[in-house]
Amino acid sequence: MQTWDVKLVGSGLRREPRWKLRLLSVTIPSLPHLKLPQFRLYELLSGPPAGTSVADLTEAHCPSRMFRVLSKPKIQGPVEVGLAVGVSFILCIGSPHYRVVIMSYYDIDSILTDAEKIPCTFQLDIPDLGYLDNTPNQPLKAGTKVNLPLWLAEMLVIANTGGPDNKTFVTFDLPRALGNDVVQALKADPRAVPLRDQSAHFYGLATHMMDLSEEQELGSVLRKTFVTRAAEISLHARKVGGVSTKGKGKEEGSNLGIGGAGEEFLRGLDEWERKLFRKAHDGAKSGKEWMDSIKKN
Amino acid sequence: MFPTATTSPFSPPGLTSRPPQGKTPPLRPPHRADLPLWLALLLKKQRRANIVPPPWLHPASLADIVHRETKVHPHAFSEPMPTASRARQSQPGYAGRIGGGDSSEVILSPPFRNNCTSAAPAGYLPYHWLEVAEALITHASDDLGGNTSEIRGLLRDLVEVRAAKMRDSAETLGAEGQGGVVSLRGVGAMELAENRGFVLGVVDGVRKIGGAVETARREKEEEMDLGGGDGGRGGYGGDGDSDDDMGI
Repeated sequence: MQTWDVKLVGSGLRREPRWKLRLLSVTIPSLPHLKLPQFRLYELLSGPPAGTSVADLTEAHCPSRMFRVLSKPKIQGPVEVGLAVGVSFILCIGSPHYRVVIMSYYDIDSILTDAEKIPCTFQLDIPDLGYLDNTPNQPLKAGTKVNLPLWLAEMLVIANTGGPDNKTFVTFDLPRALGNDVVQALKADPRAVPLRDQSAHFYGLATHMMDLSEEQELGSVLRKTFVTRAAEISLHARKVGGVSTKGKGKEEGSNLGIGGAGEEFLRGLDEWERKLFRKAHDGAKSGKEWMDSIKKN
Repeated sequence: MFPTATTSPFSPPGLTSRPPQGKTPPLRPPHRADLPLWLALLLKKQRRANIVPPPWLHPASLADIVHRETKVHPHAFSEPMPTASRARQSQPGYAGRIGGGDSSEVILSPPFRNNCTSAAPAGYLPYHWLEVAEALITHASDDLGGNTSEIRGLLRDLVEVRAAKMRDSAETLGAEGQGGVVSLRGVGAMELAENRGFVLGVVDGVRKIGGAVETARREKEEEMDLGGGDGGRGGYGGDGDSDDDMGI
């Protein structure tokens, strides 16, 4: 089966009065710029006509005001987009009840990222949910702030209540890990901030939040942070390789002196950065192994 | 009695397990012969040959390259040997590659270019510089003119300064407005292999971080496309109609 990294954000849980499906991106990790020729995604402005299912909809329906083309690619018939590695969702379209099944995803980091808590403010009174705010047996009042996990917050922020004012269920604030003081500290010196103390999945959380909010500045700050820290990571990766073979003999890789401050930096790496560290370290290590093999033969 | 030939390496070390094309030239003691590196090293280990070190491995050449890497072009890797070219007689002022017209004669891929063989001149690093240098220092240090430690020191300087450049390339990749492009011209095989995982990791990370912005940009483009399409269709109805569509 072809596997794709598909990121889907949708409010397919509600069928009435508006059935809405939004595909944010379809990317194949190995070919990031390839546009898939066999997909087309529609936003339904109303339910499909009686007797037809989503799977039956074709381009013939297009001129009607019923739905709007969201992406150039095309969906033909029942479609399953399945993913194996580095994957976000599995999406199936085409069951008789227009159901969008967002099935499990296999990327453990993605799952853990989804468990991060986001501060949300409810916009509606919700009956019987008072226990979320330590007031059991009472409705949850509008305006209550509750920390919700990312996966739930994402749903509630995108779905709207369908009421006349088209309110969303909740509004969200940026979590503390992406708060103003952290961003200011990152601007000042990315290397000095232990990201892991903010969140073990800092970048994963941040990219999720950027999907949801229109924060422009955050993107560029993060980008700067990531590459600056990446250079530092590479430096440490080479150095650690030298330390590990120290007992064996004279050639100890890098002779750049980085004191014990390095360990503190390495402790502050989030999961993305740890992976990067591993890659850089593996590269330096296999290079060293090759060099040693020359000496033996 | 085996002859003692004075040999110089002629082969990319990546192919050491198999002899390259062509016959081994007759080995007559005081004469030089070009041999594959693996064979040269083998004969050297059996004490049947001395290896003539390649000119770029001379301390003066290495010092020159280090100088260029650190002082002259502190942000770029030192350039590989230029392709052999020759002035064109028919067009004064122009030069073409040797073997110019017939592309089959021009070999441009690194392991087989002249600059990767014993013909590599001084002042340029061949593609496999680190590997060849390491092999020669390890197994033929007595042929290097007695300054092995100096060569070793210079090589380590080179490795470090180029590794630092590779690290900095990460920042260039993430810099906005530069298109995430970094030139790897002149980077050796070993350095490429060591840094591949890291650089790809950085590129992937930058791609993910920029994903949200990129998606927003694409959506906007697509909406503009659609808007344009509607406008075109609306055009049948009259100009006012299409203006309304565009207004959204």
